[in-house]
Amino acid sequence: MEDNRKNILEVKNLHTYFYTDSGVVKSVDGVDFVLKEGATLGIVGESGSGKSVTSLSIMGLLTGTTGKIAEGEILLEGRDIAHISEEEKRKMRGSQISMIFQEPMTSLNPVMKIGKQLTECILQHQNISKEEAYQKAEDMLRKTGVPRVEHMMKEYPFQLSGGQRQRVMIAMALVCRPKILIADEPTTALDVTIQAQILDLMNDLKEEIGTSILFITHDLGVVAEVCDEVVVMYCGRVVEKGDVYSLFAKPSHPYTIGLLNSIPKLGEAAEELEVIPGNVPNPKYMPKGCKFAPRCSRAFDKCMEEEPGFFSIGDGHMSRCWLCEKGGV
Amino acid sequence: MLRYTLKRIVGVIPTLIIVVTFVFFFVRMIPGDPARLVAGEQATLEDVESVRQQLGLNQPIPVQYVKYVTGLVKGDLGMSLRTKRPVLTEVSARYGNTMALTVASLVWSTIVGVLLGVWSGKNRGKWQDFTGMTLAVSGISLPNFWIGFLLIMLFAVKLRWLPTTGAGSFKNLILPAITLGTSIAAIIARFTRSSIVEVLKEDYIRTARAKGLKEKTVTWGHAFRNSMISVVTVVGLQFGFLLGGSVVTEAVFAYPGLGQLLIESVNYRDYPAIQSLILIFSLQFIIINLIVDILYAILNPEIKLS
Repeated sequence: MEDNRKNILEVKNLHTYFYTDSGVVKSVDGVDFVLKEGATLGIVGESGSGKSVTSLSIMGLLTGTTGKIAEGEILLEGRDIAHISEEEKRKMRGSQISMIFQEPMTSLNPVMKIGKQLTECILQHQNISKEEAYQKAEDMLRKTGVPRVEHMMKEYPFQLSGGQRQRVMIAMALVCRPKILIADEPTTALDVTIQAQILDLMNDLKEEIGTSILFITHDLGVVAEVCDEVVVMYCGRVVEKGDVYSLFAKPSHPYTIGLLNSIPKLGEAAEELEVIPGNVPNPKYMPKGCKFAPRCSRAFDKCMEEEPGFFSIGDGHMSRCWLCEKGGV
Repeated sequence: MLRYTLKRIVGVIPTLIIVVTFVFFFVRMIPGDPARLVAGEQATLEDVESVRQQLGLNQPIPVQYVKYVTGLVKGDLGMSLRTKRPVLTEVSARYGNTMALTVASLVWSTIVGVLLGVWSGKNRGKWQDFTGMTLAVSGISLPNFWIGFLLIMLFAVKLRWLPTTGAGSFKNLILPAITLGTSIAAIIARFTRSSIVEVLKEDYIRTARAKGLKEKTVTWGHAFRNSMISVVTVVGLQFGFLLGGSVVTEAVFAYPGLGQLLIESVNYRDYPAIQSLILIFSLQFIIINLIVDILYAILNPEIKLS
């Protein structure tokens, strides 16, 4: 399958380290992926896998933390955005790349009206009048399918439900028609029925506005629903990537297989859910070889000694596992 | 909003009744006999008794209480035992001075305290934070009478820029207002700082940054108003302490205000004056708290609209 769409975002060998008092924490340790124009790329991983830090690195939102991009490039349409000034990063946020977050309940300013929160983003990036901006904001909010839009523009966040707030967040992120939308677990805090509605909404607006989406989640069900391509992260590294069909059909990294097995299957009367044994290692005491080896049921001697490379197993499907060294499991 | 305000105002009435009653009885528990003080040192026992009768202090305490409360309802604060003039006249002559001092102190300390707090909180852990909080801790730790004496030594005695004592002009107000406001400014700065630090960790601040807003807009447009919700409460409470602090400050600067009047009245066991002054202080405190509650509601739409 030849993909002719151009690369809108390329992350190359990204290393984001946090410099804490007790040492350097390598939250993102060599991540590569490409987001094609108009595509949805899923980044999957457990808490602590570095997926959120990757998104914050792209957004340039590490300021104020001890985190820094230590190495690597982030190319937005070929232009490096990892090493530009704070002011340039600020101008890029909200207009070129925007982001929605996991917690719709706390992600809106409680003492500011919805209308103001939407318009201030437009006014920051575009040179138009307040009235025009307000109109634009109202139109965008209407697209998200919330009821009584005129009314809601004058309301405060506490008057809205969780699903409505997430719709407001989506409207806010898309109101300047950014090239990329980073969605960091946007549906995790919502009811399952609302989740489905929000995912549909994001898909619809993606088409309409022509945004590419970077979808960060731990939920493989959601990935199957919305993503074209998937990147699986573990301990700050990409352990497997591929298009969504081949990854779900032929998962090759034992971690991906474990994640897929831990989803309860409909119609199977399982006594207990399958789990991946153990925990994500403490970043200060990383295993020497493959970072997943201590939890891997198929690990052998080499896994403990040497970190595997990224092996291709065909059609852009790649896996960081010694079992794939000779192509395929 | 209107209903909320009315409810608050009605809620004040029981507090006032309690204050009036408590003050009335507690004042009478201070050792010392006002009749003896009024009659003078050479007075005979009969003289003292006749003075006592004259002042109505021979009546049973419950009777005095009823008389006092009936007077209050009519707006009569009673006669000062010391000056033989209506307490209302005594108080109104000095009320303006104390108000000027209190308001001036509160205004400058709020402005300085909030700015210092935001500046420190925004730059948490950096030199700005260290400077701001060192200033704040010094402001809290230095007793205000001592600051008063230092200011008098420097600006009044050495430099001769400002008068040492008295009231009536702006120049007279400067040193007492600095003295009285320093610790308040420091307390407000510390509260503002911790409030800003907390608010800056909130998710909606990250959202504001993700929108590409300027850092100035993030601080003043998003963080500031949210942090003020808790700071307003503190400022209101400080106003109450300002009234107490004004007693000391007025003594240091011989500033003719209510604080000084209170000291004189206590020394003289001037029951009607003490009662009235404490009632005024309480009433002011209550009014300020009322204003704080209303401000709180204005800042917090969740209260305003419910």
